[in-house]
Amino acid sequence: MGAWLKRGGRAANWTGLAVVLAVLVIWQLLVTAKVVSYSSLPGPVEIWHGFRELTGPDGGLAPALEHTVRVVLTAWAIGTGTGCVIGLLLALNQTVASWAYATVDLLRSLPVVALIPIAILVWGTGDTTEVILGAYAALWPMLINTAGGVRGVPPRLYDVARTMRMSRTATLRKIVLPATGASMLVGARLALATALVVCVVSEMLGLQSGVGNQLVLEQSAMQPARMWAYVLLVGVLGIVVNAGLVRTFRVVFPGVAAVAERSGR
Amino acid sequence: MSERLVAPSHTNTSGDVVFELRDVGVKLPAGPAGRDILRRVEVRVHAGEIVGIIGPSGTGKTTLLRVLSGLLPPTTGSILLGGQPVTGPSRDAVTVFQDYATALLPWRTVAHNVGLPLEGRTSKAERRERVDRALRIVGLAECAAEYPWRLSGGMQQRVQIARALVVEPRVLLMDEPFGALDAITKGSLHDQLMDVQTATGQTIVFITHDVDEAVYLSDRVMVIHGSPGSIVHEVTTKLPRPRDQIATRDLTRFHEVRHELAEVLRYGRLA
Repeated sequence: MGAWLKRGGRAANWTGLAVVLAVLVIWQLLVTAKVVSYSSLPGPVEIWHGFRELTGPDGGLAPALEHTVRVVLTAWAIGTGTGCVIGLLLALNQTVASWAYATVDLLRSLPVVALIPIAILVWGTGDTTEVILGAYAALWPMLINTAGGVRGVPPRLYDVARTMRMSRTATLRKIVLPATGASMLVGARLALATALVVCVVSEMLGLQSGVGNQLVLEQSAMQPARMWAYVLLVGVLGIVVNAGLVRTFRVVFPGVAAVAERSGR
Repeated sequence: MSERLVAPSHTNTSGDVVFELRDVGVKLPAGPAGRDILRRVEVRVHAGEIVGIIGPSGTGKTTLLRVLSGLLPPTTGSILLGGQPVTGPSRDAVTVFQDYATALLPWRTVAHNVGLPLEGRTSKAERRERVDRALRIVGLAECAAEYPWRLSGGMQQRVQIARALVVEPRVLLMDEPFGALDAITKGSLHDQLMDVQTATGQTIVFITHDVDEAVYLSDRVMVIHGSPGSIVHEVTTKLPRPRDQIATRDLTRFHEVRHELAEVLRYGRLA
């Protein structure tokens, strides 16, 4: 991921794209020549046709995609925001840390996916359930990376802050937060990936809207091309939101991004 | 020793006392009783003086500098800066740390690192002007927009010196400032530092474990020795200014001081 992050924003990775293209061509050739022949595995061309049907007049892809993107971003924002604050508290306040650490350790080791059926029972099959699940999933990577990042701030920087007689708020704002920035970016990216997975899976497991729900519907309608179109769509969605996050970060915090890219994270 | 060689340097030992340590002792928590790091340290630094503090490792050099900078309160005794007791870090005495790579903020450009101590204390225009001046003093005006980690070690240390100078402190405290640098870079930084000091009239207290560095830079060298450490010896170098990497090091007086320090460092006193 580090190399990818470094490359983004400079020249496009043409060799990498060529490999992707080659894989698609080989896949198509294998299917056309019937070397690989499963009723549920269409070739890329057929999947593309399925995709065109879905984006057509009554395809249903656009509203599903809009729903999933909206819910994932909402859940991610809530989860990372909360995770960031709790992570900072855990790392900076000894009392909070001693009271909360055991709970944090216990909760974060619970697989979120196992909580999906319970959440559906409790909050129903609406958007609320999905946002709660996504936010909960996004919380942990952000919390852990933020707390770890703060604990990794070189003690020397606190000496520097003290010799300049910086206030506590200034030290937090000008030293601690930027020094933790690279870790927080890692947490935010992991959180985004996790939130996407959990939201799509919860849509597959019973929620009534979104890309995951459509994917299962196409599966039961025996429409492999359309189903595959949704699968690939989820993959592309993951890449796009991640790239968007990284680019936004680079524009808003150029210095911290430069440090993150330097350390290869 | 020829008279020419002991021409009066602009040593200012008669100036006002800027810094004064009276009977300072430091005990750090270690084991049930704690460990004495410094004992009965007496230091007096005059305005405009360059004072080197040299000692073997484990004698509390860095602890002493932390006490001077107000980062570490002494267990006993008192510190006066400009006649006022020191209770914490003061902007009158700014520290330059040995580890420039961690002491600089990697996410800030050189100019923003140097401007950090002025943020919220001066107008933007004044800050820009002072940062610019400090960078010109250390010869880094061209690197203002660069990130510090893109610069060489010597340049990074100059950034840190600029960040201290921008505050215009009365005293510059330096903890083994050139310890991590190669001999050639060290030499040129020595001369730059002397030039800066001549231009600003700053008082400088620095820690070192390098005898040549101590003699070359200092008006006065103090030797810290023992465990717990205390100042066991003091030499006024009486070397002429401006100093020169080749000529000064050839002076008989340079070798005398060097010899004296080496002896004290080995035996803890003059043999």
